[in-house]
Amino acid sequence: MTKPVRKPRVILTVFRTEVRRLLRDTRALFTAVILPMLLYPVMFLGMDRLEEVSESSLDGRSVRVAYDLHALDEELATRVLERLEAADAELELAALELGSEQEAAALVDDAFELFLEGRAPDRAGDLPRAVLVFDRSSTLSNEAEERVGDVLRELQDEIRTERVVRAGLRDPAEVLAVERQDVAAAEDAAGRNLGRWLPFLAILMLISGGSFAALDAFAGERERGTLETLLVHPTPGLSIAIGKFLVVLATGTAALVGNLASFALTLELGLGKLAESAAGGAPPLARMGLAVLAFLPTALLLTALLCLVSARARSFREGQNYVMPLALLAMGPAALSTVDRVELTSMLALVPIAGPAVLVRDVLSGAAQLGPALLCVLASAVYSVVALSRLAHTLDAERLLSDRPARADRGRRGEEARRALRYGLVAIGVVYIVGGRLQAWNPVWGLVLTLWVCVTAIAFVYARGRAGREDLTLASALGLRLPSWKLVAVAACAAPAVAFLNRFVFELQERVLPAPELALPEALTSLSPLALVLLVALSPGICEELLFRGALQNGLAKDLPPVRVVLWQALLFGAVHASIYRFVPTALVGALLALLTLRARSVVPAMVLHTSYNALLALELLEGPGAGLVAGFLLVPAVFLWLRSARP
Amino acid sequence: MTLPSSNTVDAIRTTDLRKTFPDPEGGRGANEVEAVRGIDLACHYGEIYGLLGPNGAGKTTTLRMLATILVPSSGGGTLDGVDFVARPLEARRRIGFLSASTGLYPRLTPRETLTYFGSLHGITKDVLGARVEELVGTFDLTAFADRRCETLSSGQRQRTSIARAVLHDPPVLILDEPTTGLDILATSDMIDFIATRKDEGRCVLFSTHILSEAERLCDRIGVIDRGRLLASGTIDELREQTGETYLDRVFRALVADSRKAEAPA
Repeated sequence: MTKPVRKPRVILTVFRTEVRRLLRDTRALFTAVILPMLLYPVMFLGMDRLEEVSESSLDGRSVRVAYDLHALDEELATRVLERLEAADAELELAALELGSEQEAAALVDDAFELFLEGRAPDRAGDLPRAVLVFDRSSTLSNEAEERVGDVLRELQDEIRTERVVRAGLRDPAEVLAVERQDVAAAEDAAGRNLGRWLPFLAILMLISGGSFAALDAFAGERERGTLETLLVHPTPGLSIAIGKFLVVLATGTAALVGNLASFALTLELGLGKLAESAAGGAPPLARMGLAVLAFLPTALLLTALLCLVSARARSFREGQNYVMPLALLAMGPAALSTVDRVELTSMLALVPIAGPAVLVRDVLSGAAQLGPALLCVLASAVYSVVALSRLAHTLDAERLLSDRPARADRGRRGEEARRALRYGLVAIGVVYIVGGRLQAWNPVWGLVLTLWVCVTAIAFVYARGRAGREDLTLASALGLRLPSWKLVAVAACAAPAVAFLNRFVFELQERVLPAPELALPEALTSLSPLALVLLVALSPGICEELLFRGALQNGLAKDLPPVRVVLWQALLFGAVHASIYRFVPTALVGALLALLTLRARSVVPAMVLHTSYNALLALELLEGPGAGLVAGFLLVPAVFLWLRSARP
Repeated sequence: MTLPSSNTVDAIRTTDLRKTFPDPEGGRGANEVEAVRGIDLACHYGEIYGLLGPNGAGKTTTLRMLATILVPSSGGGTLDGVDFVARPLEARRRIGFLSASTGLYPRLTPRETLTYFGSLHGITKDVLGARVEELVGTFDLTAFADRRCETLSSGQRQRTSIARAVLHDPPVLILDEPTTGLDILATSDMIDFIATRKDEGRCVLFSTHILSEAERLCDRIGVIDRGRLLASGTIDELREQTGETYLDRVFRALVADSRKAEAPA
């Protein structure tokens, strides 16, 4: 009666059934998809109306202003008073004479919104002053400051113009008359305006609309107890996951399209201030299509992430706790498109969500550059493939159904990790004290001795001890195993991209902690390029990796989960470089090397990456920076090979 | 479905079946849990085999491995002659599995549920409609076949689940604590259902910790504790082995002996 089930049929069956189930959950459907479509126009109109009401309520109210102008010369005081009395602004004026500033402050607190005091010049040649004493925490006092300030500014302009005309001169402050002419076509300007906020809104709607479908389709399976029923059918888990993914994508897209239509209608009807700012046309349809294509990989990525996050949850409610941080994490980078001064560089093109958000803006305004745009789409496609390839694990029964046993034997657990950390701290101390003195004595031989004697000896002592305790070979305790060629290739391809990434990190750090100029010591620059590479690239690549990613990481990984291994590696590696300015970049490299070693279960790819990374930095210090775009493109095959390599 | 006529042919056979769950905190090997520790099992066509054990004994993990939901850490076996480790999709065609929960979607009707899972089993469209109607009649679902499952009573949900499990006419049925949470009438229906499947020549393997149920239904019983199969045989054979008369005494004797043997000296 049964026959082998074809994958497309499974996907279609799952898709249809999930859609049917979702459509029957009318309350959730209304909250997630329909309600936002109604809320946005109402929200814009409501905000405008609220602003109008509060403004008009202030317009009608008079503010009480006390003044004391006796210290000004009589003519000026008279003109000020005349202007205040004649002003349209509703001012209730009262003349007062106060003895001190404290009295003025108390007065503004109690009886008046503002006190205007005229003060004579302190010295000959200084200007007389009009001091406005007001209370910034009070709405009415702020209003009074604005009204009186406007009157005084107008009077000052008027007097200046009179004096200049009387003297038969021009205003000496006027040097250049500045005029602006915007030559942007209406469609480009409209595209730019739209592109500023569209990516941000698209991400918000995609996640908020898709989240209920994702939670129901993935977390819901565990909560309802339907997971086993589903997994006992002769259908591959990936096909089921893809069917569910498509439902989430369709729901998110429906919410997005519905909301955009609702926005378009709001603009078309000229409702709210948004409509005023958007007046002036729309970008051409072809650009809209290109923008959709540019955003598509990001939509796939976000939907896949939503599915993955939902599948981590044991219940709908737990899943909601995960979706909110995901939404915030996604919307943060997307907000970059609203910043006018940000352009799509090759580095930004590699940043998920942020790059595509800026690209969408540039595509809509017709300002996209081909190179970074291609890199951005390619990188986003790779990220979405990475996320999609993880979908099969969303229905991984081993993970979802395994009973989580209580942690036993707590006392002995973590012993090896603690020992590895102690050795790491000893290594840091030895490098600081012994290595520092050796390198002060001779930069070249000091470095050689630090790396090949001190660092390597600690690695061997720890690895030998562990090999003895656990009946391992020394090579195994040092992580010296034959790696997959693909991961060695990943290491070789990734070096320029890691260097490029770190330059970006340095640039960010510069804003917080400006570092002194990084330069090689003179003793090193006099070496030949080959000797330099052997000294500052190959030696650390072998010795530091043997200690950190080899001996210590193997000890840490015995007891700790991968995330904590990577964090400890980052801390130790950042600390051993003994520079507050280099801490963040070296910690980042340490984390990447740790990740690579965890994946490869061998220290060799980390040695390749470390050596080539250091070589690149050393040569750049000698020859100047290389081309970032090339580094970016090299990252794409690196990620691809990473994906194709076998999981440990 | 064509079933062998003899009830001595193995419908289920496992050899040294083991399952180790990894350390939930991610370290390598330090805190793994051996849930099933080398189970050898043989169940025949036309036989009801009861897996009896306390909570946490490894019953559900064993059944999940047989249902190919979990992959054994080592060992393996066959289901209706198919290697369930090497060819899990093929093995799934031959088993009907009922989990401890009813496993139904609240917003689907019983008829839609049967149609959905029938499609996932690869039942062709031209056959599926007739098969669903046949099951609706057999399991007396007609009165509520078009009502959403969220509105059904526990007995109605259980009947729907049973219909779902036998939708593809499997020769082997694996039921994980099938009477848990059911009222007296629904439990009686379930017991009738299991007995009828045996009469049809199918193999029924079910787990339970209700001794009276096992005594009434099972041709043979396997007693499981801490991941090991302590004894397997007819009730009379187990009585003879332990020297006890009542099944609860038999069970306690087997578990106590095993735990004493495992305790450190």
